[in-house]
Amino acid sequence: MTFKYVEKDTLMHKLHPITKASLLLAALLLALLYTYDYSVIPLLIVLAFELVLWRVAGIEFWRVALVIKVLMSIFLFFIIVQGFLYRGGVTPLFAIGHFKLWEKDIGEFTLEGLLYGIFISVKILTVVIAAIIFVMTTSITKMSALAHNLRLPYSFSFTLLAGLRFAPLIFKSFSDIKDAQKLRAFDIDRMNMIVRAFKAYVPILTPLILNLLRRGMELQISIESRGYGATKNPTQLEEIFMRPKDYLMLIMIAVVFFLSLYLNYTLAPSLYSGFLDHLRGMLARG
Amino acid sequence: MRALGRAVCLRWLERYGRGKSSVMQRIIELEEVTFTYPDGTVALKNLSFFLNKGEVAAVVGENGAGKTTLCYLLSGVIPHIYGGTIRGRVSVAGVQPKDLTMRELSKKVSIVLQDPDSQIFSPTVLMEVAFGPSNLGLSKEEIMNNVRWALEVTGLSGLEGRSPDELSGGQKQRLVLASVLAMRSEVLVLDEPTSQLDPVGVREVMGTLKELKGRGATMLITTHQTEEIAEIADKVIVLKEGRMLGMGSPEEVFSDVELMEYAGVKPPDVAILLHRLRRDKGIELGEIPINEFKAKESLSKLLSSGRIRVSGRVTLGSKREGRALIEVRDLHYEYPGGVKALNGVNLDVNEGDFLGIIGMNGSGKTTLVKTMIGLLRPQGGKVLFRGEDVSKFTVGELAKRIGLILQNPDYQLFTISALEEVVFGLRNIGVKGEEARRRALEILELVGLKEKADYFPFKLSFGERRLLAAAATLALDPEVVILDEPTTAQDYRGRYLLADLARELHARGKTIIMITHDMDLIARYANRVVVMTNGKIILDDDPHIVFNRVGELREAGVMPPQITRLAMSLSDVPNEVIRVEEFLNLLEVVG
Repeated sequence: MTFKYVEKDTLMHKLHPITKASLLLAALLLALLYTYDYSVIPLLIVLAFELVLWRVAGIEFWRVALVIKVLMSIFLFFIIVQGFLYRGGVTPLFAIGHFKLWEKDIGEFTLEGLLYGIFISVKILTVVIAAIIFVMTTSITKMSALAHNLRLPYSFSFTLLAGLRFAPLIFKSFSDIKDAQKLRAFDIDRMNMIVRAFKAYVPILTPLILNLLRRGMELQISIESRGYGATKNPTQLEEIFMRPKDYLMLIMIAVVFFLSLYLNYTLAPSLYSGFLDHLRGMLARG
Repeated sequence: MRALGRAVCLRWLERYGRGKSSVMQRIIELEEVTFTYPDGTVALKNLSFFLNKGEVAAVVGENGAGKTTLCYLLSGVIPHIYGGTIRGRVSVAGVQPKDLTMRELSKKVSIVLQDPDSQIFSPTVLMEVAFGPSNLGLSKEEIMNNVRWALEVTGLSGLEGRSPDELSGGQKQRLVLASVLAMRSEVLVLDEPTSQLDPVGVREVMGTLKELKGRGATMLITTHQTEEIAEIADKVIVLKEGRMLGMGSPEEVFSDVELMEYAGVKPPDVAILLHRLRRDKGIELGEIPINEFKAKESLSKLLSSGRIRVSGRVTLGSKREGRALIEVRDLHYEYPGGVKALNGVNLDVNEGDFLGIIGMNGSGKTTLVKTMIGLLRPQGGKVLFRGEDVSKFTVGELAKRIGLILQNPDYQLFTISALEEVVFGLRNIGVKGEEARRRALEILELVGLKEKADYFPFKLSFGERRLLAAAATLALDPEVVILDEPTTAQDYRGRYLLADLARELHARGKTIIMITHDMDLIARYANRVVVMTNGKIILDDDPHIVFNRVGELREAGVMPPQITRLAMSLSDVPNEVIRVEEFLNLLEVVG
């Protein structure tokens, strides 16, 4: 798996999970709040700030390459859809035909639509990057400490932990069992959809469930003999405190957040329409 | 035989069982303990023994002898997790496990089970080891001290931040050990801690247990590994059908070949050799040795005194010139993440081969077999079956030509009766009705399960379930039969059931491939052996020759059988010896 915590010694790794979570929260709030295309300008400021933090966290690009790849195809989809369908689109760039739908000619790909597609993509990107920074710089130990600080019950974080570890094991058992049944000439790949849905999974799920029951029993023995539940509040190995750097970072996040909001309601609309006019002018001349 | 067993039993009981007062602190004590499971099975009968502080007891016996029940009883799993009726008195570290809860008991006694994968649940090594002590609510400093100590003892220091997924089998089981050690409990109970591991893993875990003994740990270990445990245990307890057959030092117990065989426990090969030298050839011996060094001394003395001499040679099997059935041509396979599992493998499996494939975990054995049966598609090279590229067939079609009998029968069994289980495979290849039933019964007879045709598969013992899974594979009548680790998690008697079945099939003209860590198995059955390391084949020859290539074997992480090691240490004996019978045939009594 790519999208996973990587041990490093950077400022971002040392920050309190709450600090990093508030960056994610800020990004999410802004993305939900901004609905007009001119908001791309204040959003880009947040994005730039996040990219600086990304650098600080030392996250290698290849680790998230898969996520980015998937995102790119989503963005492309949004840009194409918005390019043709955006209702405020008045400056056609090219046309593949002319189909009137109410007032809008959806055969035309417009400049405004293109920009609106980009705006939506930036919205998603701002949130995803904040999430990547959070996940890749926060160890599970710290997350469970966070759960403890938030007064979630211990059994909750234990279940989460065990689930995280056993999910891949269950998938592996599933595919091993599937292979094992194929070896008995049980050609699941050759069955049609209906047979597959009703019959094919009995020989796979039966052993899987029995296997999980055995595992569960053994896990119970293993954790109970290690005193699971002996105290209500097991010792937290990693105690997490808010440090001066956390407050400093929170202030920076707040500054960027309010700066972005301020821009959005003051300069952004006129700046954006100026930029749009400039583009339209260039298109008209070119 | 039974009478003999009883006599031996009484002898041991007189000497060790009761009445021997001791100034040492008894930390485990059982008095006349009988345990009955809710279904009426009596798992332990009248068991009495004690263990002093700092002592290590090994418990041996066949599957079903009561070893696991004993472990559960000592660690409180019985009666707190599994129910049943306990009679007699069980005392561990001054308490009766039934009187405390599992949580309170966890400070007194800890348990390690067979399968590390079902005991580890944390994302990092550190968190796993710290789990126990933090449940006890110790201070952070105490926890970290315990963790550091536990990791150091198990040789895992420096791996704190690693994910358990990145560890080898041996490392994982050492991690489980570390995580119970961190509890600092007084008694450690280990239920077959090495039965799921390869030879390297077994050596690692046994090394750790030895280290722990050196540090004064009190342990009770159940195992089938007599050779390795002999160096660790202070006393050995032999169980059969819930009763104690005998107890004594490893030398006393393991050298008693008749007792061992009656109990269904493997005696060391050198002990069998010298026992038979005494029994069959009338040679007077003092004590029967249980390791190759002592055996070398005894034999050297006999040889130099002229009581016995070596004559004759080991005759190797003649070269077979069968037709190639499976041809592997320059095979390459790389797993996602860049692990090269096969790195240019070439191999011809010929008709009439009984081929053993050996090598460490990760050497490419399993990957090679998976490409043969079409479960993996190689990135380079090809596999031909009777001249046809196997990539043309689906796994199901190939299964009619090449049958693979897997390690874990529980991945396959799902029906309500043994018979149904075999019929399932037949139905998949289009055999129906009465014909399917007739053929299924035939196969069940072949594997020796005909009487149990109506049994629910999960009511069968592990060994029987493996035979049933084998029957399900054999129902498709494949020309080549591949066995994956036929001896894993099996006792002395069970471990050869599948191999004996393979020998029977071989005699009927099938070609056999056997992947294994078990060198004795190769020595007994195979007529050809391939050694793999790092995705390559480094040796391919008769086992008599391969087991003498010590350098290559070490590179592959395997050791020749004990009997071969003994032969190599004696200059008069030809090094090609790989079986006890061969060794015995070479020795001639003078006068």
